[in-house]
Amino acid sequence: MDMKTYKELNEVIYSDRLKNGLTVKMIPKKGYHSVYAVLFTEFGSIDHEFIPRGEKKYQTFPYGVAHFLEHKLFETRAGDISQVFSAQGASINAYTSNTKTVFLCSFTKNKRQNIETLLDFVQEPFFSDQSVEDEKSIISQEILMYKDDPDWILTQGLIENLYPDHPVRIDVAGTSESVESITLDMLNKNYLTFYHPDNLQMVLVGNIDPVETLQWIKHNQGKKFYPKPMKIERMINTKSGKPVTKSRNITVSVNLAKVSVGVKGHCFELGEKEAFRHILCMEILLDLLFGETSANYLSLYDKNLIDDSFSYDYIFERGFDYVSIGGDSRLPKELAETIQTILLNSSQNPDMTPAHFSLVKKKMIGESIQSLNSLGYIAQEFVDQPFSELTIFDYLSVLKSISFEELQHVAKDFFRADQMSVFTVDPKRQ
Amino acid sequence: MIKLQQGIVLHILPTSKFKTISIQLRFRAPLQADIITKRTLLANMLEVNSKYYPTQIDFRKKLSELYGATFFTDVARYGNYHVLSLNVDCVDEKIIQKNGIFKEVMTFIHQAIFVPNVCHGKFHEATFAREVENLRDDYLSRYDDKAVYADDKLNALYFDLPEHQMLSYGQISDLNDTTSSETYETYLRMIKEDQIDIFIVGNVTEEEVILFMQSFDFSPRVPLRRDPFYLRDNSSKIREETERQEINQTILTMGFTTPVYYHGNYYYAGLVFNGLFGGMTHSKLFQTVREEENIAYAISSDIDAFRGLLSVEAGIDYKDIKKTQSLIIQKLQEIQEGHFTDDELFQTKELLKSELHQIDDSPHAMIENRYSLSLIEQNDLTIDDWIERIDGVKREEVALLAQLINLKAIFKLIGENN
Repeated sequence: MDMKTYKELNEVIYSDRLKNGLTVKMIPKKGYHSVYAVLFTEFGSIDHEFIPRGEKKYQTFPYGVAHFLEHKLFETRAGDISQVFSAQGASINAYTSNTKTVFLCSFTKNKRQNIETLLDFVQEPFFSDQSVEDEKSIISQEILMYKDDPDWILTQGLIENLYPDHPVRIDVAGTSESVESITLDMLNKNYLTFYHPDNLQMVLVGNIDPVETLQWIKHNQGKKFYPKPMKIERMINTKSGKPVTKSRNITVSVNLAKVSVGVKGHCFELGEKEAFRHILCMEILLDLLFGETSANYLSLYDKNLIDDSFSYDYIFERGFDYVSIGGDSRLPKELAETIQTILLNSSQNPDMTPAHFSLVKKKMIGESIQSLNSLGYIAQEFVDQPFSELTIFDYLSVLKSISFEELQHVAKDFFRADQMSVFTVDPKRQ
Repeated sequence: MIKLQQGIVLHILPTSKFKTISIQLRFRAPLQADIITKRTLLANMLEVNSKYYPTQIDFRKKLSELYGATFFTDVARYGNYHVLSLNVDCVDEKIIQKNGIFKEVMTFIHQAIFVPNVCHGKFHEATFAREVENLRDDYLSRYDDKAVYADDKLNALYFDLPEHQMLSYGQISDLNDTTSSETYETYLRMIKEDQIDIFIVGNVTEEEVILFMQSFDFSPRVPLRRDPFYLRDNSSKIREETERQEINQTILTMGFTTPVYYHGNYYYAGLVFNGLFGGMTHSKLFQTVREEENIAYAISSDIDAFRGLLSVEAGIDYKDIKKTQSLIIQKLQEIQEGHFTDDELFQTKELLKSELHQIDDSPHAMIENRYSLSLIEQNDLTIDDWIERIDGVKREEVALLAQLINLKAIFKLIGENN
């Protein structure tokens, strides 16, 4: 077991990789009652073309299999697993993203039982033809729910613009048609490929003893047999090379227009250290240009171009990365134009000064320390950035080492006019 | 609990497990229809600037210098009370070895409260005009989130009094005739008359907190003693409303009257009931409507224990609306008749207890818990007492409570083509 100590923050990470390939990371927190446990696989909605375990050729599967599997794993030999967790005083939840399937669980007692139940229900699938059919109507309700959510429409619309031929453009749950075509056999093939322990990680944060906990996990895994780990061959087919769609809009029954400006990135293939640093640079940069201490923000706010719903984000995932900026607006066109102008002229922007840069850094140092109060937040960070060396606790030292010049360089490199796009949700006037 | 003045209470919760100091000031007034929107505007004004930091940039830059101290205000309805809250978190200075952050943060809070951006008896006009528009957007956007909208409509249908029908943060029709001078009057009244509870959680000592609090010169005020609970009315007619919009999914919401009030006679049975009925994933509604009948992705129930309201919300296909409605009633009847297993009862209690144990892992949850208890003057109730009472709930009590639950309102939001 490896142990890494962060003296300044008074935090320690214990980690190990078991013989079967399972990665375990543990962060004990003194004084806390709860344990926050997460088990996740590097398998999301974009992984629909790959070589299934034991086969030789690439196969393409319908959209939505990862999400479908997430739902179906809750059904076990012992019935709905949430009842078992409830009886053990634990609450269980799960979600699927573009690149991951994540099972989260929190509890204050029956620790060994709950950790083992989490491992067992994910590692011991129990699907039947009938239950696969039954799930389809539930998922189709989930898809309809998102279709009525204008914020979801905005996010998804922008992604479609930025990635006209990448699987990320399809909703994580799939489409009504793709979900209808999913079969038991497909679930099994996907499961065997992506739920091998070599592709799984377990993260535990809170009231745990790492030595004892690791023994429990090892003992649990020792009872299960897996074929040898092997590299998963996945393919993301973007052969058509379609360029970014510049602008698109949709009319929906909403009161307020929503607009989002996106910039497609090209950094998703960076190595671990470079990626970690790059993500931080992007966060500082967006905060400098659009944060609450920026003149840009106040000017947008004063001109009534934005309200409290305004937000910005940098998404960095396996296979894609992009910036999105926007929110509700009474003047969506003006807002989109202003945002694009700011991005393209960032080096001359009055908010881009060394003094503002130091202030934003100071703020981010404080915020990152504050966020370490939350067990769920810490665990989530380990899921979002599952790097082997760098973690949320390295944030401070890397942050301190970033220079203003470096940031200017990143801005110039990232914000390119030909990679920008605007998506607008317009209100339907009755 | 330290009484600083008549009507002003300081709650210090010392602990060293967090990396922050959390500070909250909660201003409490009787819930009245004509003050809710005004207090919301006031809360928003206090959040964006102050006399010493007259623009949002000045204000936020100062907070950034204090290592990203977070500062926000909000309002909430606790039964018959309206509460404006000012919330601050900052890094525990001992971790970053910078002295004086806590003191400076307290000074900043003091200025934000006592020296707002006011000139000639009114709040700064340009800021005020902007915040009116910002709040208008907020109200308008409620319509855009269909689940939120359906919930708002159910609330308006269920209650009879405007102060309970409207959102906890007011209503759009009040915006046009609220002025910045009126908002200043609202401010003066709050400072002079509201009951104030001040919470500090973190690695602090009573001595230093009291020292920093000395400048917070609140005058004594008449204690506000009223029943915090909205009590049941006896109207027996079920209210129903349907609205059509251009949407894909139908949303069914139902409101029931209950005698469940925060730590009242039926409270613990009520918590167990809600867990069994629709509050948890092992509940009857989730297991039947979603897992057996496969007709919903989202279905759940919730209890507002200051207003005795049980609400149910489901996202379904229009064709299943009647079926869902009768399943909800049927599941309620099952609990009324005691048709639930010992396993279900056990699961519910275990999960409730686990949720209670987790309160002490979050400074904000600790404050929320202490504050709610202070509203009913039960400051001494510990989490262990609470857990004991949950454990003591008998199945007959759950059934008995369920028999006192009555349907009062149904709101349906359906697609135009149905």
